Amino acid sequence: MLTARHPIAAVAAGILALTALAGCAGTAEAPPSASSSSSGPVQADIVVGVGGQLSNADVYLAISEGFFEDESLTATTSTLTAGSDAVPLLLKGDLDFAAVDMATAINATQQNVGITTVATNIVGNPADIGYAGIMASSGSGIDRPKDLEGKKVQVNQLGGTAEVLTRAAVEADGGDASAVEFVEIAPPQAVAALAAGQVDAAVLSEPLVTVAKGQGFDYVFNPEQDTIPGLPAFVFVTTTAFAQQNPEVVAQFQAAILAANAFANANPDAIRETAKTSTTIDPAVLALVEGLPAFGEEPITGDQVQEFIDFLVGHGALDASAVPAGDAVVWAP
Amino acid sequence: MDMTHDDVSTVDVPDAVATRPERSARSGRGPIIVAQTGVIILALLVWWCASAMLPAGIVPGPLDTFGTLVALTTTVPFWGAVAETVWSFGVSLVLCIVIGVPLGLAIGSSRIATQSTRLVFDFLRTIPPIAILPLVLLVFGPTFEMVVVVVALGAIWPILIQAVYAAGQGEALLKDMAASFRIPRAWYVTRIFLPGALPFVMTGVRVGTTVCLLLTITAELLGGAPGVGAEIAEAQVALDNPQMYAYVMVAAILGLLVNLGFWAVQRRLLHWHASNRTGTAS
Amino acid sequence: MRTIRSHWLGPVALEMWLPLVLVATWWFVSAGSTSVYFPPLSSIFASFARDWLNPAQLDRNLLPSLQLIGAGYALAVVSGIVCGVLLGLVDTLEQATRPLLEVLRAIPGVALLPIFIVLFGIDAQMKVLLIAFGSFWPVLLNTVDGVRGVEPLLRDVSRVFRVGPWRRLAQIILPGASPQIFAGARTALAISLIIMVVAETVGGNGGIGYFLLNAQRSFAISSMWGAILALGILGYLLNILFRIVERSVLRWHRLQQSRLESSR
Repeated sequence: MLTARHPIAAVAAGILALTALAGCAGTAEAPPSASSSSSGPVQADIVVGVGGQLSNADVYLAISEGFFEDESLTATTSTLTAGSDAVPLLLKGDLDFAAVDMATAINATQQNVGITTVATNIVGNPADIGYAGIMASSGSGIDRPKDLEGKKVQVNQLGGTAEVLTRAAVEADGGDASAVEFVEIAPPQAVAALAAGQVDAAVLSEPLVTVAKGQGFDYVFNPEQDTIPGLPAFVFVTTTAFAQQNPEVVAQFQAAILAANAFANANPDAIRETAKTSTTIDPAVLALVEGLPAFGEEPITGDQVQEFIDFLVGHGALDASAVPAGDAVVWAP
Repeated sequence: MDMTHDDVSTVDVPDAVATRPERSARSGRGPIIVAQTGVIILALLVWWCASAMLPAGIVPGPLDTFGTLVALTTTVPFWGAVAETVWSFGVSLVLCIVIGVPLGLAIGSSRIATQSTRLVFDFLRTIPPIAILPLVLLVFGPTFEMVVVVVALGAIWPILIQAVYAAGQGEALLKDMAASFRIPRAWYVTRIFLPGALPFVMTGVRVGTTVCLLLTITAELLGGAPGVGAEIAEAQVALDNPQMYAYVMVAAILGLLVNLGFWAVQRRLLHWHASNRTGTAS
Repeated sequence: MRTIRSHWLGPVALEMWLPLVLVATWWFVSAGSTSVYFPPLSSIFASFARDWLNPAQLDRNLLPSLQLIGAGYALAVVSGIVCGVLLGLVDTLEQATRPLLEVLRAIPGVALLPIFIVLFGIDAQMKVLLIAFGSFWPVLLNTVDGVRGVEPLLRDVSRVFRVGPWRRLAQIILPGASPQIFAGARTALAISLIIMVVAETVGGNGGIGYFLLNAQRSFAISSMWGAILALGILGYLLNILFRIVERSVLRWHRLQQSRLESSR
């Protein structure tokens, strides 16, 4: 009879395979790619994950202007199509550093994923026309934050930073934030949704702001202006394991980024130049961009992060009982 | 994700293999082709009208899209993406077949095993691969491995379950005959059991093949692993609609080719089966 | 080889032991796990209970999904059967449209999401249409095959006996094609589930897909596992429901067939 195979054995083998897989995946960590010496700068090759956006100009400049080299680091960039890829790739070891938004860094710390924040990428832009903007059509009657009451506003994530900033701006202008209807649409489709009239306003950042302007929409206001000016909006993170094993590399990275950020803020044309070669943004759009990102010129501190967390909690984006302390988010050697 | 005509069903579907009755081969070919072309032209016209009527640029017209597609075929990254997709698809499919078919046949040969695993398989097969994508993405990142894992976990079920079903389809008469004539087990397996199960297994493999391709593109699109799906997503992000549509066409064309390829393979493998013998000589 | 049919415990135990063993193994192996991606099964169950067994949460997480899949699936099945019967009966139409259908069917439903957003918005009607569009094809193609596969002899005989076209449709063609139609409908169910999950990531109107997206964004791994479990259970329950409907409809059909045969 054809009962030679023992299904039980096959099943047991399957279970063993599954558990082995679970064990392996759980312990996959990044082997440090640096060699440490007793004192002095440490020579290291690092891979920095970026999104191919204007806000990553500091990384590109740090490479092209030699700021990384000054710190004995040889850096290469790896472009991520989705911001959510940063953390998995960091944990896998494919990246050493990555630029993510502040909320992601906070969430990752809260969930003990093993990520720590080392430097500021861009901060909330305090200018009238900033890197991010609320865009609306000229005939919609939306000229100030208060006018958003009763309107449909696109954000990239419900309960995320964009929504919170907009709510805060509406309230600061004397309006009722609960009367604003927020809808979640991913940025690539946001402009189309705006054009099709499915939303009345959209919270976008460059270069989509300029693209929307090109399609006839107005820049209504800068959501970062009165809400989180100067606070870190995007940060550089690395895995806690990497930071613990390579504290000197982290310190060198921080120094290089600070220098690059200062340079970028002082040389806006350099930002546009480097974006032409390093990003896929249409050069025609690039030339028209008004609101450049504001790069962080100070080392990141736990207090800054705490302010950001308090802002999010205060506007209901995070639960007060489920937030980390600002100091827990930031790397401290 | 799509599955073609036959699916695993607890209802006895007579003759699980033949689904497309052979049509009269030679006569009446001309008018049919005219009609088919006519329908396609009509569809293109509808597309063109839609693109003209909607606000500018939202839906690119057929000329725009085909132009972009043709232009793309001259670039290297295009073929790179196609190669990535085809490779991911191929590897996942082979993995599913190599694991699913022998395992399914083995389980199907034992009634105890079949009943023991039924609940487990029934439950696991209904989990949409999309649900595990975020998790696999977290573990592997946007890579080839991620795609293979997601696709394999999704596409193995039709193949596996149909193989289990196939093993039970062997004619009892042949089994008893083999036993009473004391035919050696190896001979029985290769000459009687496997050929008997093959048509049914092929049904599952065909379903699995289409699932594999569509899941591959979906996983690339949602997960960002390199390939045609990722190109669709990137074109979206770059607001390049003609390019996005062009790549969607590429996905459809790949699906078409895979389908045609499979029919060719099936016809070769099962040339001896009754369903492939046409009654009338043409 | 006789199965123990007289004693009910036998078959039930035979089907239950493996799942129970697997769950138990998973529980014990993962009990002390510190891995980010594979939390202890106990915490997964806790997340599941918190997010899905709680009536308040069910309303936000599950109800929208059920509504979407109900409407989308029903639309797909009805339109698939209608179009399938039409194409199955009119041979020239089927042959003429076949290349176009083969191309349309091969388009991954997920890739169409942005197009649908632009055309139909981000609300429930867009999602229902997207689900219906993706699930329509297996029903259509299987119905066509089923209709064409109905014994030509039956069709000829019914024509000779001047059975009216509507009666012919209802009592001979549809019942004859029903096994195939059900096979197609079962596939369509699986596709509906997938497209529903993807469509829900847009708009933020709740549902399982949106829950999964949020869990992914906030690195709530246990919640993700809980959602996977919930999706599996939902799919499993829908399939059982489907099987019940299928069995009762087809049993009626088989009864009718055997009655026809025995009355000869």
